[in-house]
Amino acid sequence: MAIVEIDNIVRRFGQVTAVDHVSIDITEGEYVVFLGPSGCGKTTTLRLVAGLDVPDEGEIRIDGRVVASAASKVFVPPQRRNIGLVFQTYALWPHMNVFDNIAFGLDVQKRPRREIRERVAETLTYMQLDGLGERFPHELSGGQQQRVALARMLVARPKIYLMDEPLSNLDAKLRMEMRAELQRIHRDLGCTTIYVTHDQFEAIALGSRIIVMKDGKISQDGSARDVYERPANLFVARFVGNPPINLVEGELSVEEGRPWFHGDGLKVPADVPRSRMGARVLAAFRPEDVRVLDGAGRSDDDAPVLAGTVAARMMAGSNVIMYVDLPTGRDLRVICDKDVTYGVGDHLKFVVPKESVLFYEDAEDGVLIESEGRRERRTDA
Amino acid sequence: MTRMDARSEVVRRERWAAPRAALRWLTTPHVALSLVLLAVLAIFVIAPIVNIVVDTFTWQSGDTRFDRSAVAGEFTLFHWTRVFAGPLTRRILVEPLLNSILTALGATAVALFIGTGLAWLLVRTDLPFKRVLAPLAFVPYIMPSYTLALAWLTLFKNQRYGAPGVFEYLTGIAIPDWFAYGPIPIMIVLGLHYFPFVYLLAANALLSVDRSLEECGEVLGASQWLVLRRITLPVILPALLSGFVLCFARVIGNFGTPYFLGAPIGFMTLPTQIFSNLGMRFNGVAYILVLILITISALAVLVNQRLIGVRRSFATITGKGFVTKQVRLGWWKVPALALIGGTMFFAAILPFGLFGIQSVMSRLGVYSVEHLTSAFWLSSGETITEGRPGVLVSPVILRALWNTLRLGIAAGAVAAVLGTLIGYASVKGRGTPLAKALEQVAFLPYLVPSLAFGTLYLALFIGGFGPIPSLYGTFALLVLACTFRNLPFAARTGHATMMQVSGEMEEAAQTLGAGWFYRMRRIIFPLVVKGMVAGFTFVFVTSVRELSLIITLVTPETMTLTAMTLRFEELLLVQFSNAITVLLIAVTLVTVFILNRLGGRFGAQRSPV
Repeated sequence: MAIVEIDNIVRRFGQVTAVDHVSIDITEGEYVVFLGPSGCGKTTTLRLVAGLDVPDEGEIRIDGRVVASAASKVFVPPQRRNIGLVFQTYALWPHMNVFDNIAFGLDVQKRPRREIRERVAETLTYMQLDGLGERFPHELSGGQQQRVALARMLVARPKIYLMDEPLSNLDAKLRMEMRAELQRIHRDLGCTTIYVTHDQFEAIALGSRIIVMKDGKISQDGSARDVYERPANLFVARFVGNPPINLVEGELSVEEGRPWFHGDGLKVPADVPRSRMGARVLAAFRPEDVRVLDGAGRSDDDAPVLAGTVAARMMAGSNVIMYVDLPTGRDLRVICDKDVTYGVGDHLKFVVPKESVLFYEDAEDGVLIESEGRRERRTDA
Repeated sequence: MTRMDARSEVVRRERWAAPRAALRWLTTPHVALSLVLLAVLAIFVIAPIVNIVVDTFTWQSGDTRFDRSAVAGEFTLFHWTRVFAGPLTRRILVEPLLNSILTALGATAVALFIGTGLAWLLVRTDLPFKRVLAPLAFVPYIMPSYTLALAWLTLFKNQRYGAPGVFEYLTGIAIPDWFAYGPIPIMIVLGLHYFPFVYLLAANALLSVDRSLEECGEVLGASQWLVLRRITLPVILPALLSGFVLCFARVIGNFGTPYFLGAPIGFMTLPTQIFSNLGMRFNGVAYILVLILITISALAVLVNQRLIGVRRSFATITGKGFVTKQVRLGWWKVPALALIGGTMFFAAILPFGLFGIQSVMSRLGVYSVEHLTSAFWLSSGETITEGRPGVLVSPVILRALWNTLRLGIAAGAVAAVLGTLIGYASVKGRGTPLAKALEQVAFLPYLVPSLAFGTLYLALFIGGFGPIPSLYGTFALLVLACTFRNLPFAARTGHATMMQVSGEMEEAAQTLGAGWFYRMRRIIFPLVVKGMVAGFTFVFVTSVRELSLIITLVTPETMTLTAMTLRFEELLLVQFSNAITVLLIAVTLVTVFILNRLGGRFGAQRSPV
């Protein structure tokens, strides 16, 4: 059974609908990431689950108990929901030292003094904060403050962890470290976690399940793999991935008894239902799926090929990102091996493997056109 | 559970939706708190005003003097007719009203001139000793408002009313009445007392002016004086107008100064007229004059809000302002310093010194070593003291000192706590009608001049009110008056402090399971304690030096030092009143010093408007 059930909730602020009929069931132990641009309603949804805000419509249940219901006006305040929350700003209390900050949740539970001391000490060690108990928050580095905020939540042993962009105030290097740390905590404790972020890398790195939100609605709800490899619509396709996914406008048509995509110099066999023939669509493929066709290499007979001139070349450590001008005026983003020797001005040919191409309806946030076989498998399940 | 069961379960739950929603609203901490605070404010702010309006339309207990058929509590228009259309209208209303407006305008002009000039010199120029002068500028405001009036008398009074003043003693020149008493000295003295108020507003305005506006003028070749005249002054003009209007609203309610300087020659203002009518038990008339005073003051504040603009949020005056490029005074430094020094000397140091000297003189008006005496400080009663023990040994005066201190402490503490709670409730409920109502009601006392406010309390609490027994003659009444009169300041401080505490501080505690009282105790109060000390300091200082507010409420048992001064002045035992004033100022300054050390920064106190 789901431990958190979000049932058709709505939250409005004046004219703006911040959360628009959102339903999510979260099973015990799941690590769910709410991902989306700022203003998409992800933090509001989190605050509704935490009880820091009240839904205008719908119902939220935690552990089978109704904690907020717009219809029956039931509302359980945060202090009786058994949740833990890590804030973006950490919200450490400046007038308390690290020990007192962490001990607060246990003080509230009126635990005996000795137990508090032991559990805080244990948590300090677990979070690698040994010896910092007497310090005050302003005497800590950003990373240490982050650890204290996590420790403060962990020590109280809540049933659900809520995290609101906890890493966004850290520099890139620390952020990587803390991601690993968060994974370790989840592995150790296996606690249900809802994690809010606008950082797609973070979402994909951490979440076993990602819920992409836009304008208060759920845009896609799936595994990290799904969201990255099979974005449900153009919004998700564009939002996830850096450099962004390549999109080519074109048309579907039947040739030699097979459906094909034509457009902007690209011709790809398309595994889409026959009913879509003649439709305007967008072909989408990730920059890392594009391969450079060098002189020696040879493409398969029907492998789609694009030709263009390298306009920019950026070293990104483990690989190289190239922006290529196509004759149609469009640009193509390509990620290739760091050892490639091509430079700006080189005229190159590129192969786009047909299995890596997805097709979307040509509309604002057009949805993914599923292949016939896949659609059937879905309906079976 | 079958489907039917599930449905009836939902129906059953929804039946209680409305009462549950109401209960949840009522038990939301900031809502419950707002309602409680509004109830308190209804009793101590709104009820007194409504009550006094009703009283002006009913016969008061002593009114059988005017009309044998008068029954206390019955409806009558007698008081209104007497004030507005009676044979005495000119003496009761018109003259005091005109006198009040005249002196208030004059005093405000003086305050504006000194306050703005000082602000410009201290904020925008390279005047030396600024760090010393900036805090000194507040000293006149910390002292009781009538101190300067007494000092004026000590210096300039003439033989017409008792012994001559120091000036006449030293020079032999007789001071004419118009300079010793009446409107001229009242304007000067009040201006010197209230200029720190204007200074605060003007300094904040100057600090908030974008320096690049002025630099732009300089780049275009304008001289410093041209920049000052054409750019700086117009930019801060709204703030200056605001300062003028608000200062006027405060000055017009001042009682002590016109009482000491005007009453001897029969020059009455509204506050002194109210006081004398109360003394003669013409309560109905006094209450109408109170309402007029409130109306003038409220109109001024409204004009400020509507016409001159929004209630500005002023930055604190410490720090950044002194960093920007400053106007170089050059040789002008000398006259500027002399002017400031002279003002400070006259407004702050001289009164203290004069009182000190006079309090050890056995004969008034004769300042020589052979007349030195400690009788007024230490004796157990001599002929020259009319048998009264000295200030430091008199049980009556020591009790008044104790009353003064505990009044300041009690009012300061209650106002600081209430102000913090109002700040909390209004910040938490920001934007809701309830929070707006709370803020506005808490601001109401600001519209009521001190003497008027005291009279409101006298009228309401002299008899019992609802469940509250008669409070007249109790110390609690003084505390209540000082608390609620100063509540707007405390609430503003509380609001400003609360705005600086991020909501997440409390939410974090909430998610960890802490209930409201626990959160307040462990998180909110510790985080705002500095603001509370500031609020406490402000209310403490205004309460211990308060005369106008409490003069209608004190009784021999609840006598404070300020009221004591007035008594001795009336008895012509001037040395006593001087000694008491010296004692009071010393005690106030020491306390402020200690409180400053504790963290409240009086000088950096946010403007309450």
